[in-house]
Amino acid sequence: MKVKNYGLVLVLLFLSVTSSFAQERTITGKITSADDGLPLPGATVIVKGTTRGQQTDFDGQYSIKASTGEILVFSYVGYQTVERTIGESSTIDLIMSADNTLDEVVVVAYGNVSSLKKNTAAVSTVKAEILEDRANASALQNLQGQVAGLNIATGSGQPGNDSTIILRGAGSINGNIEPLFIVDGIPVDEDNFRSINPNDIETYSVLKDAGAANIYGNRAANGAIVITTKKGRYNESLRFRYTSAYGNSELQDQPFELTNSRQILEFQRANGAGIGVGLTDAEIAAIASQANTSWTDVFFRTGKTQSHDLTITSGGENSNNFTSLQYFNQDGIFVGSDFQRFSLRNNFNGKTENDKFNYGFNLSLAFSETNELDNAGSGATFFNPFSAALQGLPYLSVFNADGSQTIDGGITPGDAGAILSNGATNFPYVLLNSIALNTDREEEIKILASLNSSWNFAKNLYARVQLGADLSTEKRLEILHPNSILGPFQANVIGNQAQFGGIHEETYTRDFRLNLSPSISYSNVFDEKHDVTATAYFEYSRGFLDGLDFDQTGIDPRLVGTGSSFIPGTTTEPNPANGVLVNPYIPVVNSFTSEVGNLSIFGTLDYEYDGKYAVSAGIRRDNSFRFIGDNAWGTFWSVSGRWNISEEAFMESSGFDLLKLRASHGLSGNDRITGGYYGGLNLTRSLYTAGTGYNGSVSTVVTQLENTNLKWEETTQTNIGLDFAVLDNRLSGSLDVYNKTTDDLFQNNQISLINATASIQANIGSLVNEGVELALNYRVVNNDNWRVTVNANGSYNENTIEQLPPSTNGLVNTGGSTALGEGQALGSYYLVRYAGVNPSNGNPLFLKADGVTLTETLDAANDRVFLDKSFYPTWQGGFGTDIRHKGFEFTTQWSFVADVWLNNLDYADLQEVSVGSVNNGRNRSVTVFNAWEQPGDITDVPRVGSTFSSVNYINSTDRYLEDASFLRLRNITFAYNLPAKFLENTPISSLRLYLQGENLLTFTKFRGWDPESNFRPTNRGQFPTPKIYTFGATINF
Amino acid sequence: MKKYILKTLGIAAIFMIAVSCEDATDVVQEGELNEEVAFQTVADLQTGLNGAYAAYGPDFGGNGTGDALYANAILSDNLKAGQASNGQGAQAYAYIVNFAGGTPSSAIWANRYATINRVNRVLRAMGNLTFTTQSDINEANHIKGQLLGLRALAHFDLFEYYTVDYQDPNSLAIINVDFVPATSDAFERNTVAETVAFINADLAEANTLLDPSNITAATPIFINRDFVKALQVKLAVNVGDFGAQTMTLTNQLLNDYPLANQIQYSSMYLGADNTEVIFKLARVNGDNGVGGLFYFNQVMPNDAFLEISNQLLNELSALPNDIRRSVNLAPVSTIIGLDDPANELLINKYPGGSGGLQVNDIMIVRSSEIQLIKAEIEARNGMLGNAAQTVQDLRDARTGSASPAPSYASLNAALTDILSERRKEFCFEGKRFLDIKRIGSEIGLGVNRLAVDCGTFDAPCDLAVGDFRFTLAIPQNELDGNNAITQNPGY
Repeated sequence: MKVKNYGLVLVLLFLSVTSSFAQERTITGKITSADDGLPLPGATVIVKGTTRGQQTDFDGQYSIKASTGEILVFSYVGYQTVERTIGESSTIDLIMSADNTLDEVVVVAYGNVSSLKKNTAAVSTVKAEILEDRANASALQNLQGQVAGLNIATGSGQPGNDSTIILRGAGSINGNIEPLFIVDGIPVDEDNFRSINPNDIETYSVLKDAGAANIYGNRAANGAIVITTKKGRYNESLRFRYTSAYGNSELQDQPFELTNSRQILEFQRANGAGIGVGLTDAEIAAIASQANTSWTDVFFRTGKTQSHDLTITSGGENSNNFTSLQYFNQDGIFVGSDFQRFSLRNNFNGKTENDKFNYGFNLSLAFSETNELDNAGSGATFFNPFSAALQGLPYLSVFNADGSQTIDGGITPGDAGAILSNGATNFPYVLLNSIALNTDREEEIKILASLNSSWNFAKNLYARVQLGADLSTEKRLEILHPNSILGPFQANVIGNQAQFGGIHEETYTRDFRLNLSPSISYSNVFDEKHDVTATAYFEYSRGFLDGLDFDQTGIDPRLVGTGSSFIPGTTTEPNPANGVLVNPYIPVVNSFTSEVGNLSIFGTLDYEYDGKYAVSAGIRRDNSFRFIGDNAWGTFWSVSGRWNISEEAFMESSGFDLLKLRASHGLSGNDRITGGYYGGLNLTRSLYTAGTGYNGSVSTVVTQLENTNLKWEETTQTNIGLDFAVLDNRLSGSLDVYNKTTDDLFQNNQISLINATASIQANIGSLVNEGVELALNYRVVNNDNWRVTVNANGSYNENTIEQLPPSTNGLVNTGGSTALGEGQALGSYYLVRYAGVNPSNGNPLFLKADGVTLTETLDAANDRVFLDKSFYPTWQGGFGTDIRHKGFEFTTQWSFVADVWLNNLDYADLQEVSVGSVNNGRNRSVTVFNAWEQPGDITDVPRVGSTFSSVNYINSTDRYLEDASFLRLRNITFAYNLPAKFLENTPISSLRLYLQGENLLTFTKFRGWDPESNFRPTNRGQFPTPKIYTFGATINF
Repeated sequence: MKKYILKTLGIAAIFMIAVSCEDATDVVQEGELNEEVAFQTVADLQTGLNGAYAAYGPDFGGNGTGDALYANAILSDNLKAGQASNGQGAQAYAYIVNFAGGTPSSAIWANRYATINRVNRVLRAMGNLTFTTQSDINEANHIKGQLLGLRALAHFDLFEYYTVDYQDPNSLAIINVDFVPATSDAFERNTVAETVAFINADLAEANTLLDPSNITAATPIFINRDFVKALQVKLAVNVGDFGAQTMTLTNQLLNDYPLANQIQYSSMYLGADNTEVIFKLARVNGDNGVGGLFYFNQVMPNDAFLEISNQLLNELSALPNDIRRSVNLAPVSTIIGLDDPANELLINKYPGGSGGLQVNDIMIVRSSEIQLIKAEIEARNGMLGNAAQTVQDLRDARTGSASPAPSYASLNAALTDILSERRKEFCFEGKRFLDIKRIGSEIGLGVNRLAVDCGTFDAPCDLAVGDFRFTLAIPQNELDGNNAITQNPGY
């Protein structure tokens, strides 16, 4: 029966083809999406059995020559392919529905592409379109909460600030812990994303296990994140897309109450220190009525955001092009902080007609300017502006006599007495003044260029070359204005202020990284079932960092900002002590250069049998210049395999649309001993340096002790994963378990101090990250009117230090609040347990190491214990919803971290009651009124005048160690696509309006502005991340 | 054919790239200086010596941490918390046991061994060089003499802080280091006898190598034969050698270095007079400012986090017109009354000078110390009357007139008076804690602070005589890196 029909079709086909020559005519039509009713540009229409084909234009329109009886095949990525036979009508309009069975494309290492069904490794892909409207200056910030196991921690509200990225836990103690970042095939600086336009990105691929990342084996011990930017398509008409957004950003809610003027003065009066002493209630009321300043409101502001994006795409037969331009401008929520970027990208692709040779050239040029505030986290009173915003005293007025806002509080520049009096009470004025007058600006030009080419030079043989360059040049300008309060202190004539003050410092750096990787591969299918690909690679990488820096002290206040303001170094002024002339304005100059290099050869082998089973293996030899002799070369490898269980016959009616088991095991290396790309460059050699010696002479001293045995830090990772899809692909997801063990850890091996240093870098010990990751995606409803999707991901990572240098006896505590301990997680707090306030005398109580005995003696040497709390989280993830109804879209994205701890010095300072601290010039939390006053008082705040200061509590006790777990509404977007009918007579093909917010809600127990930190042990005066609201429109024409 | 040529060239190009890349594997940074290149001439060795001197920092530290000057002040009875205190030094002042990084125990140990390491590296480099001209040989010997003197001084300091009993030859002292150690090695402490012999040997050799006619001998900021002599005296006194040889050296030194008069004394602390200075550390513009041990910025009200204790002020005020009161107490101080908690008593010993606001030279040995050692030797040899006269000579020089003559009924009385005189003479010069340790233990005196002073820190007032904390702990970072070493008792 079947055979007969088959023959009949053939006959019909033959007939139709022959007749077509006679009756060919033009068929036109419009293709729209079932999802939202919008036109589908770029959909392919071909006449079945021929090479005649067209793509729909921007309005979804097509026109093709065909004959009656021929079959048109309509296809579009992500949609079900539809065939229509041509009848009488010359118009075929079509509504295409999404193809839920589509095999998702997965971008893997070295520019290769695999698919969800075929890939053997643990890879998570994020399509950037879901992140496109977001208002973060750095592309990476958008990724938080999107991928199971990936933690992106920013910890600063400075727009464009670098994030710390950890994938599957921190895998090194001193070495680099961040994954490798690849943009369009080239490795880039993972610490610099501010000059990359987030909207140029098409996909983020997170390569997690050895199978995925090992091909980058010498750099990918922490995994890799492969970013692909957008491209044009062949055979498409010229299209424009313009997006503009405007918005505001502001400080998150403040979860503590500060004292007002009356309260703090009463606190001073009650405790006998400060200007409150001896004042009557009426006098206090009078001061409070004159000034009750919220320094938070003075320093923080509502920032503006605006962005303009224009993209142009086009494609011909053998070339296509994508061009994008962006202007992005965002104010920080703190005065004096802002960021702007202008970026230009062009991605060009070309091929020969026979497809044997193709190439792509990607070029990104960006200029960014950042105005920022130094000293976040610093304890320097006159330099940390965030502490001033938090702790400025409310009775200091922020107004001049004429009602305008002051920028100096009436303090004469250079008046040490005025800024130091009363515990440096006036420090908020100093900071306000510095921000108003000083400059702290970074200007960066970043060029990313990559060339990829592939040549099918013989049957089954391909030669490929990837060539990439990442060039960043940065100019940093810092001016401490001579007329600022701190200006006159800068230039000295032997301890006395010189005539001219101020500092002008400029630093130029140029960071150029080059990467070249040719490869040859062989690919063939035998017996239709054995699919084999073998590839040999060679890779050459270099990095060059150059810079120079000068520091001019002594600035002419009339000419600030230019070189002509520099007071010449030859200028002399007399030493008031003895009249001897000295040169107070000699500039300090510095020049530096560093270079790095890596050389690698490696090969991969992929074998697939019948679409069901596959194995991949890779091996590589890597040379690092950081090591010498036999240690220079490392050998790294991986094997991975998969079994597509759902392809088996016995699974036919199992209900699984996809069930795939993956496993991988491999070894990768890390040579970044001290973390930085340009760090630890010559630790195998003892080095001397010339410097300033005794009595102003020149000295020669040893600066570095060699360790000739340094070698690669090695990470072995095993991963078992399951990818699945059920319910007609409505529920899909993946589950992974892994064990990642790092051996030969770069650690500070403690050595005897008779070596003139306490430690040298050595390869000692091991650390393990073990965890589980789960990602789920569920389409709750999917019909013509509604599409509701929910997604969730989460991961649990347990980090354990297995072995420390033997010399440490399993414990490295350098006196800070955290320590390294065998059996403990990295970043574990090691503190004396605070046990409340002794009701009989108001002194703080602590637990001895035995955990039972209470004591008033803080014995930090003996009573510290590990608290099983770390500043690295064990739980992290995110979840979100995506609801679409006709033209409306409503999406939310939440992220969370849990079991993460942070020492809260800010709050400790707000509760400072130690002896002599009452008049320390700082405001308090209203909770200081709970301080113990008389025997029998039950309270959590020790008596005013007790021994230990906030810093003592932070460094040695867990009193302010707080749970910094949080759940945050990372993003919420509401968008509306205008129905096509309103746009019919305009050049506009579609219009989308959206309203979105970042970080609008945060749930946390942490008592500070922001629980998010970039994995630091202590929070003090940090720049909190803001809430950002933007409104935008996207126009296609 | 043309097609094949292209292909072959293309493939060949790829492999050409592959083989010409050694520059990526042998990367040496610009400006790397190894030992052979660093030390080639006598002038290079001199720069090595300059580095060794620069390492030695009893005055180092600031803002609540510090070396010997700070340790002797904070661990004894000469300080109270200042008006601007944020708790700097509170833990050390309260004798809370802590020998982690940043504590005096760690600072002194690390600093002295760093100094010794620099010395030994220059000595090793010197051993690989040969000099032919006489002037080079003389200069190299003089450099070596200074290096050995500095090495002896560093070992001597360590000996004083980390040895429990200076006079028990078999007990543990410190690690004697006359070599450049390998980072993989571990070391136990030598015995007192070994360490004393080691220091004496260095001093003896230094004495033969130092050239009294060298240009550096003209200024007390470099190690000279007289300093070697003074250190020999100090070591002898520590180990209980009060014999004639020690007395002879003492008299020689006092002959060459008379006591300063009042004007000379006060200008000595401004770097302008060297009458009684046997050895001091030069501190010039750009160096660590010793004032930073007590002040945030400079000698001025509201800026000191550590101030003079009322108890010390009272002692300095005991004799009328004692120049040491005005040298130590800043005129901008506020004295409300005797032992008044509101007294703001500002330290003036380091007011800053030509080197900068907080920068002053650091006295290591002055003839007044030799004078008081002489008194001690006299007393210990039963010459109580001579001892009283020797002390009185110093008092007369300090007060500018004849002061009441002391009279000692016993050795104990003599040592008590000498201890008290040393306190006034050397406060904030890095001696008080060691003095209580050495002399106080003999006469039953520990630290006894006034309540008004220790109250400023809410700290214990006393450290009982014989407390284990009078000997500093071997610091934690040494224990971590050296599993062969023995900790001091009590820690």
